[in-house]
Amino acid sequence: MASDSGAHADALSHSGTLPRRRGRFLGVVAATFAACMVLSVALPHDPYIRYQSFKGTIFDRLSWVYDRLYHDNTPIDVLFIGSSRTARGANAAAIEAELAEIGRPELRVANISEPASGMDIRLTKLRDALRAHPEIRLVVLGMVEALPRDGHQAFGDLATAGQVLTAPWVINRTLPENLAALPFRQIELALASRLPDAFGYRAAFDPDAYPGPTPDHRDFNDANWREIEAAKLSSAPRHAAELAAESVMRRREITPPVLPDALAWAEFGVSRSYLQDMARLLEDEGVEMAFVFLPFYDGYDEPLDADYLRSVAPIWSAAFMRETPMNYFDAAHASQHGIDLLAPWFARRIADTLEPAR
Amino acid sequence: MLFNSLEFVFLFLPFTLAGYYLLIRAGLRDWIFLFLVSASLVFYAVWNPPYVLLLIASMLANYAVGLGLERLRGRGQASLMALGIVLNVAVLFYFKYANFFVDNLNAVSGANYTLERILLPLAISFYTLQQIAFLVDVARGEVRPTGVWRYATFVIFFPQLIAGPIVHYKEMMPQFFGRRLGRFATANLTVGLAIFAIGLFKKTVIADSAAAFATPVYDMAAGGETIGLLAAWRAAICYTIQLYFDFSGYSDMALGLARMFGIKLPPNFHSPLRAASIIEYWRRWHITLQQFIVAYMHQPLVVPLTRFGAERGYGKWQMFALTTAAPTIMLFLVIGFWHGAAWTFVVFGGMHGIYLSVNEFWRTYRRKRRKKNKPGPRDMVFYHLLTLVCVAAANVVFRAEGVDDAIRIWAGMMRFSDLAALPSVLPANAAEALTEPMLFILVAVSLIAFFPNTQQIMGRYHPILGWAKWRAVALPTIAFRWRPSLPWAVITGVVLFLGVAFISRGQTEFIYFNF
Repeated sequence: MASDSGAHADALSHSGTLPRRRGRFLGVVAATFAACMVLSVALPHDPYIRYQSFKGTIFDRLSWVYDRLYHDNTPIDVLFIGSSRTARGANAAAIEAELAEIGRPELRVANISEPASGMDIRLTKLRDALRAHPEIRLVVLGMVEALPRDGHQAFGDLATAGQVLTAPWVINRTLPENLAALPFRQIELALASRLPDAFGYRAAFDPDAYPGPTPDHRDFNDANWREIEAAKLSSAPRHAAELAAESVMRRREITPPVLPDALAWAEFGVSRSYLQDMARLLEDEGVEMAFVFLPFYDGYDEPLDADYLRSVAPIWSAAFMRETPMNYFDAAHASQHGIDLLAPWFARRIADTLEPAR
Repeated sequence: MLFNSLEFVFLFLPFTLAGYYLLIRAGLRDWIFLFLVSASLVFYAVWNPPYVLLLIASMLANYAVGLGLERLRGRGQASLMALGIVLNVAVLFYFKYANFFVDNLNAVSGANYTLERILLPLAISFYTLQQIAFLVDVARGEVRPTGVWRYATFVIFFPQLIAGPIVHYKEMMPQFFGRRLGRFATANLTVGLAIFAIGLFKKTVIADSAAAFATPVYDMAAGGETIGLLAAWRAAICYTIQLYFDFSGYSDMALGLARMFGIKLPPNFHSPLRAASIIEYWRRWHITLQQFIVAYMHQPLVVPLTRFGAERGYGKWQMFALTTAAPTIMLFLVIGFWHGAAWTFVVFGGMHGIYLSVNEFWRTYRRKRRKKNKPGPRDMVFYHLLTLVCVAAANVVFRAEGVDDAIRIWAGMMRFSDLAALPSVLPANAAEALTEPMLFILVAVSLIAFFPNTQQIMGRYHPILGWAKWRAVALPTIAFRWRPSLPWAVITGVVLFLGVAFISRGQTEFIYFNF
């Protein structure tokens, strides 16, 4: 014990010999830390690698999204960006076929939706889409029952460093995590851009791996979706009962606004901020904008934020499908029957919105 | 809460440090214990709030027993001492081993006793040992209980709460008293931060990278696949690297955090993988556990055995078997089992017990010859390699999900028919330098073999309790020492940055959090 005490005293006296400038030392440590942060964030990388970084996740269709935008010259007139409901319900090939039926074969549709409904990631994709395809004339944003309070879980990985750094601060719960993850993300992306093989990424476009401009998003979810859908719909009463039970659960899971209307800008600040940014961007580019609402089974006629959304862009509500179990694969996603109903409905609205070019 | 989490680094730690030094500056020194206990309970509660009650109950019960031990003498004290130890061991047994015993009883007897899965309370193995040591020290008259808040601070001071080092009351608590408390705060923060940065770097950059190479092989073994020679050695070596940097990284962080509060802890590691024998290895690996075993278990066991052997006139080798081999193997079985309720840990302990016994036998057998002919450089290389191979082989079963999995990897390590594939360990291109472990292993092994350890880097500022004892042990081939200069400020900043940045790669728990 005596020796430990002695050592302790000895150590402290040694500590006392640290230069008086040790406060400055800590300052240099902090400055170096900050400089490393800045340098790491500034590391360049190939955006194609960033879009591929979702390999093996439910967002792995994002590498197709990049290919569609940057490696496929097929024009895009109408761009759908939404969640899994829009991914499944707005079948680009079927809509193009319906457009051709009604005399608008020149209109080409792309659907770059992916699961989950955060708005921030949509601005990222929209910016890339407009950069690669300035010919876009209409952007249709998928909406669900209520605007999400948080950003998309993949935003921190898909957005550019600048987009992460300039994300809105007002009640943005995912921002600290995204900011904290940014340095490592940038280091990893920079390394992966130099050595894509080491990370299992492609350095260049591979036409053989590209499923074309209008893939069926159901193939991204599960290659066996046809068998699964057939099994689900094989018993109409059972399917209806399952949908009804899931619908009740979905209603229960919707959290109504917690704050008064006057504070909705804060409660839904992240979503509203990005919606406004997208609206401004599209207005500047002279691109039409619309919202599409695909309700869940036995759900609502229009989004709970309809008044706010209408102040930004018109809402296309597919309320006609919500009471028929056959239209649904599960409570939130359209079945083939639902897609067959939605395609002509979308085509008519698109045709009404976009005047034929003279 | 994990040391390697952003909420710990950027929220919990700065606020706790600020509160601590504000109390000292405000002259409210008596409140620092309440403050540290409260902060440590928050730190613990983030993991599982209900188990905080178990921790508090354990502390209060042990403190009460400690008070009793101080007042009693003779048989009364011995009985209370036994009661205290039995209570601690019983709680540990219930939470850690009850499921294991019921499962094995059912397997052996064919019975169907049921017991719900019991969640292992975080740190229970550590705070149980620490409190048993306290009771023994009180009974021996080496320390006395001096207040419940002080005692609580000793048990749950968050830098050492979860996975040690296992500290003694007499080592740590005097540091909270006297005029020195709170002095040299900037110096202690500077030194502590540097030690913490090294530990964080070890964990997030090196240990977690090693895990990425080792884990797939253990998963394959768990899936029943045959493991080839190269994969098996990759698993053994990379897991040894992972375990060392994970636990020593944690211990460094504990030392650094405590130092930020002006408190020094005993070392848990001192370059154990540079040891040339298993005996030396265990003197430098998980040092505080080893010291606990020696002080509170080995000596009380060996003394009566020695007397027993002497009374019967046993010869040299009989005495060796009775007083060295048997207790060593038995105690290492206990150490193995202390790590976890699984047969893998029993095998691990058994292997090290046998290693140590063989090592002790060899030492005794060769004692005279060693005095005449000191081992040459070649002998030393052989001893180092032999020690490393033994350690790595035992680590296989330490990591494996089951003994069967370990056997698959051991079999792979001896599948010499795969030797023809040896050249494939060399990376064929730049991408393989990252995806294959060879380069990583070379860097990690170089760090272990040639570079100074954390306390040697920080040696100028007495980073640990009892530094004088360790100062000249396992000196590095490449020596350098940290000092508060501009280059070292930049290096510290870079190391801290990498440690923090790599947290985002995916937090993994410290291996010893499971024990």
